[in-house]
Amino acid sequence: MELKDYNNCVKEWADALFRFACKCTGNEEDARDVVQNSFEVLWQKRENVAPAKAKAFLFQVAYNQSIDNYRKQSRMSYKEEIDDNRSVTQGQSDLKRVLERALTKLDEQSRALVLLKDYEGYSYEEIGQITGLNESQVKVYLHRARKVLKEYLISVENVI
Amino acid sequence: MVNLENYEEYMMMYADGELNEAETKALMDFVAANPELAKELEAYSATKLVPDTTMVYANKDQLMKAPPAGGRTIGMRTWWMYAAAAAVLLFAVTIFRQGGDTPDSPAVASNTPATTQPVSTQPTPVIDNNKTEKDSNREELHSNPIGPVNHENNIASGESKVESRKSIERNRKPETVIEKQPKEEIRIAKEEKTTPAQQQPAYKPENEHVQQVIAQQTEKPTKVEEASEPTEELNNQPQKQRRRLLDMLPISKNKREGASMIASAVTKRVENVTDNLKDTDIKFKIGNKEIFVVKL
Repeated sequence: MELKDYNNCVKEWADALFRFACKCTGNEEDARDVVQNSFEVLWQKRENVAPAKAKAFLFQVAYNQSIDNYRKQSRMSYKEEIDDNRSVTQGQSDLKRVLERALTKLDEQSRALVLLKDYEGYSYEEIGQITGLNESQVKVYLHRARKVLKEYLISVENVI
Repeated sequence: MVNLENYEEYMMMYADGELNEAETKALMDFVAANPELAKELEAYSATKLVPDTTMVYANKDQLMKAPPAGGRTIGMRTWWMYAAAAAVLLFAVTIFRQGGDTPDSPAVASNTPATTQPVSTQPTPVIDNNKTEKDSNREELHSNPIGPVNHENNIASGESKVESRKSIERNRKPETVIEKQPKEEIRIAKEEKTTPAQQQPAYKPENEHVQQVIAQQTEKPTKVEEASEPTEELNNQPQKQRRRLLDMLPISKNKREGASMIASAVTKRVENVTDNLKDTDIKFKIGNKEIFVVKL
């Protein structure tokens, strides 16, 4: 990968990576760190990363860092729970916002899988390469996550 | 086949976008046959997250990398670097050549001292020479060169008051040369500021009217001996040129020799300066490329 490819990656994927990291870590400050570190790692290993694989490489690094970050700090669940309670009490019916809250019900790994699937449109196989899981595991974890999200949606709908 | 056992998996794969056309059609047919499952399919489809595109990473510029100064560059830039290097070399060579040429030019060699003297830091000793030791031969030698212009006229008028046009023209030539000098002389004078004061007498002899006037006003002893020393180490070529110029002047032989000695002394000083320049190696650095101009 050349300098030009790297800078193209920044233009192309920094926002997506930031959104992914935000959802994974639960706050923008950590997400910024994750994005910076991910691109720094990409820059250092640019010789070994083909431009076509750069995006997956970035998300792999961001995924690992987000999971580590999340495991070290439990602030995300705390913060999101507060938002969740407030939102529920306000009775918001917006599907998107409900889904955002539903996302906090998932464990960090399942959440990352859903984000990789829905935000970035990766296949099971690609998600497996990014997360280090095999395709079957990805499929199982994703299905579990979908079921949780679906049930949350239905439950909220019933409450409202 | 989609059935009541596996329809949920199909629905989730449908939400994930992992079903092909045939599988999608099979799922839709199955839901159509079981309308009570339509709501569940809708719920699974609703779990698909949509990214918030308004959320962006603010400082992408900080993540981007600038091309390294000396890194791999495209051909055009390399070409420019070599062009710049060549330009610098050419500049250096031009400077060296200029330094070497100045002493050889007859105009500068023969006349410089006259104008440079007033600028120099020790004007008084020069002035003294003319006044105190007027009778001595050396004094004559030194004072003569000053006069190429003025004395010539006097001599010319003394010997034969009515001169031919040719002789007049001859006299004028040196005058014009002298007038041109100051520009070059200033540069030479600057270069020699660093040189020791001992060698200054070399410039003294070529005083003009102004210096003579000043000399009459100030009466201080001077050392004329120093002026004769440099003459021994004269360079032949500039001397020839100087003599050619001097031969054109209608002045006595003694005075002519004196003028040539002074001129050659000045030439030697200028050569010292240029030699100092030539003896130094110069190093240019353009980007990460270094160019050495080494004295061979």
